[in-house]
Amino acid sequence: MKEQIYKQSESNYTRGLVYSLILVMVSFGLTKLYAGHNESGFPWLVIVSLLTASAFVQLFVQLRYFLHVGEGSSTRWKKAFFALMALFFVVVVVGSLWIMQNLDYNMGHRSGNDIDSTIINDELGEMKSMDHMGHGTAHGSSR
Amino acid sequence: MNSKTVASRSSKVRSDSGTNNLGMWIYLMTDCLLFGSFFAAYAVLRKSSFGGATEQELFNVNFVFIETLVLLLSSYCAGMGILSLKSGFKNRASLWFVALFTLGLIFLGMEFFEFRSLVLEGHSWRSSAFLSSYFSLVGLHGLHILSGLIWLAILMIRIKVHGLSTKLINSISVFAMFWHFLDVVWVGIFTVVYLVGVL
Repeated sequence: MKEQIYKQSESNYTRGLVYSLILVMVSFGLTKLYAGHNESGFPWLVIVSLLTASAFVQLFVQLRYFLHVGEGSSTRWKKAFFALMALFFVVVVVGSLWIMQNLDYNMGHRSGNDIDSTIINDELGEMKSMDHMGHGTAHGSSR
Repeated sequence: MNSKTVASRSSKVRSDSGTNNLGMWIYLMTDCLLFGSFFAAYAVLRKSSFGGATEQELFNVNFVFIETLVLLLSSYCAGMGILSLKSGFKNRASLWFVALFTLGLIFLGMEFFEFRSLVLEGHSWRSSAFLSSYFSLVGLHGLHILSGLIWLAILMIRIKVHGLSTKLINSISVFAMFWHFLDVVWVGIFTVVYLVGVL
């Protein structure tokens, strides 16, 4: 009886390993085919989407066959916690990317040193265009 | 809901599967969020190489492929080890766990070699924002692996000293869960950092 359970679970683990191996080889193979190309352009988006898909499939393969989500007790709880974590994960990652991209754009794609000198120049300009009471004039800062 | 119902429900959960590892699962979910923030930082900063070396120039995909295979195999060993333990094959189980430990050590060694080479060539975590975020993300994962290996060593010592018990088998299966999680995170790392980085 124990042998039976052993054999069943063993085949599960082996399946998980084989599927994961295939996915790893597909991902690395795909990358090596297209390595060194520029970021812009149609193929990049396709390749990255494929790599992402492969990673997600491998995630589910490992969750199912290695981590046994779906078999043990508290499965519903595990799925619920996973879903909540996934929500927070998306908010953190997508939110960070969005905000940083926005910041990058608003700062005129300049690097750290440039930003400092730009801000200093802007503020000096503002100070010069103020009247002696400290009131600003109609012009805004240059940008 | 009276205490009698609660008590019988919790004992039912435990006897159904032998292990209730929901606590570890919740911890792993928080660990995912931690890695998530490091991934986000890396995604933002990966192009900020400050005029220095970029992803294309530094990453060795073949090397990472071997690392990936090593870690994947070690995750398989964890699963087979737990299976052997629960089926009563103690000797087989220790072989699997020794294999796990060895593979884990090999992975760490390879990663350490990779980091060392980078630093010696002048590409340290201080060189650029890209490198800072790279070393932080991959280093965080490496620290998790190291902690896992220390934990496994302690578990193996406990088996030696106290002999196997249901409690210890539960502890080891919780460890195996952690180890599987680390392999899952690695899937994310090699895809996002190395594969996309080299394209």
